[in-house]
Amino acid sequence: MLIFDCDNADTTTVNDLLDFAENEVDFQDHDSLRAAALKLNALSNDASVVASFMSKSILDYFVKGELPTSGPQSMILGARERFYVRANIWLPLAGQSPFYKHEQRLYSYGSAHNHNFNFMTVSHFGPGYETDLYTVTASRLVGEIGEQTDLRFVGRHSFPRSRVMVYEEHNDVHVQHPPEAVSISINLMERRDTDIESDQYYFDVESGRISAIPEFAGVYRRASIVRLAAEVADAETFDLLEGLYRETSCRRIKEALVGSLITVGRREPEFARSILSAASRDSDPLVKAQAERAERSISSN
Amino acid sequence: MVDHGSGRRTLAVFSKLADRKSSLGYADFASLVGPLQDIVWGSDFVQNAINREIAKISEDPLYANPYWEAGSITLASNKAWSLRVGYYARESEYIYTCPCHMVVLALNGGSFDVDHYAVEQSVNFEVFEPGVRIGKRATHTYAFGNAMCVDSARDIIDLHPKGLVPVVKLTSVINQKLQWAFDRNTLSSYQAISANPDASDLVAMAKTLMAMGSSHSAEALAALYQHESHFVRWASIQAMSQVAPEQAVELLSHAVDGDRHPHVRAASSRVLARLQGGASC
Repeated sequence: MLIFDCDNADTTTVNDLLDFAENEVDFQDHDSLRAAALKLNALSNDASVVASFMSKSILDYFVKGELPTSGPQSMILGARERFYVRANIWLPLAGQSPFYKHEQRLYSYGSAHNHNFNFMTVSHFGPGYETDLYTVTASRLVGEIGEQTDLRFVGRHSFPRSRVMVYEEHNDVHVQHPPEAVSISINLMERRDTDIESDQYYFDVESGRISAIPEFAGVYRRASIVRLAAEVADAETFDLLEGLYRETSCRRIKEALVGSLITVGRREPEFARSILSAASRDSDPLVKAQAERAERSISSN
Repeated sequence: MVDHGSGRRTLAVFSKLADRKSSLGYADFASLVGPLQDIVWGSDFVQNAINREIAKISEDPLYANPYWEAGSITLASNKAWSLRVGYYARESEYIYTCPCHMVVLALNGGSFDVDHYAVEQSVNFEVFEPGVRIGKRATHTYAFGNAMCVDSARDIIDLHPKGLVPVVKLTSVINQKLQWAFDRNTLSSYQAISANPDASDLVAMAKTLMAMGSSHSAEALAALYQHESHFVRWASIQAMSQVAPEQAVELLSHAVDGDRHPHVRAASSRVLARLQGGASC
């Protein structure tokens, strides 16, 4: 986690920021990140950038019937091949609302999570949320729910105007707390095709364990489709799934296929034998552990 | 008889039928049950669609489909209907009314139990009232040969899945303005949310524009007052009161008698009276 408190007063546009990011930004290079933080703050210095985009989006909605949003919290301001820019709205929570828990989940308040991509965020409007920062050595994780991690508390930070926070993929973990008043952040997000294969987790900060996986993340959505396929399969599907197990480099796909044996293993013994045979030799402990569970389940039923 | 066709042809025929029927009333929507059963339970349409998806994942390690959700995939859709295959495992804190008509077919020997409820008094689902009670009418188990049909105007269901049950679900366009939430213990209405997800996004935008207070957003906020959701219309009036107070008074004056929703009319009347009272002091 890097924090830059920017004091530049210049302004820029979403397009200019994206041009700069596509050509200049390298999340592994500290100098590059400092330059990008100043550029992101320059975009944020345009006080009307989000309000104007939002107003135009509303007017367009009544013509096209579509919003550039992904839920009530996020809207995409612009996108290119390697980066996109998004505005996030952070509404205070009404403590008495019957949908308090729902809104808490919607805005990811109170849940410790990492990300499977690099991004930087600047506080654009309002008091900003407070955030508890943690770090974890993601490369050491097997990726099982309940797994003990080396999650370490780094500190609580406020998010005043012009502060830019840079999150390192996988290793930085944060908990956002609802702001006291409406706040807006603007994010510069890195995107890569390979994000579909990398993990993201929720953590229990008390125990330091992985508490859940975000099902909306691409890697888990794809794995869930593979598992679903096994459960509604015909003979051709099982052939395809065996081939997929051999071909894929995605451990979550392998885990899903092995996991499907818990429900389909007994009625599809050949498929089960083939997948278990490969899984038991797999070098990934996540896949191996799932194979042991599936074997136990098949033999106990 | 099992149709071992490609599945695409079968889907094309069903889609044409659904295009004609699904934007109509519940009776027309329900007439799709037979054709849907034919393609789901009488053909290998679902398996073919899934097989094509698995083949694509095998061929391209980075393949991702925007129609994937967690545990479900949209097989076909248009503006008036959507056909998905996925797990039926939703259990929520409240019992909700359905925002759209729906037909659900269990797959592969799976089954799911559903409690069916109905409101115990005559209500207008467009105007939320707290404390309205629902009563249980029946509990059914749905499995192969027995499709569940839900009329959004009257059926209230509470699902009790036995694990993750794979199903095919046909849904109509959202045809209710609100989703009412009923407390599980008291079976009384507790709160309502907008049935249209766009409405939640637009309310959040209105709140944000209100907080930012930019007079440049007045045109957009005035446009929001045209929205079908009374949550959005009320959010537009509230935001306008911060951004362009004179226009807010115009909107309030119109809303007092002219708004379609009694809650907006009543709230506008209260606010306008307060403003006029303040002005006269």
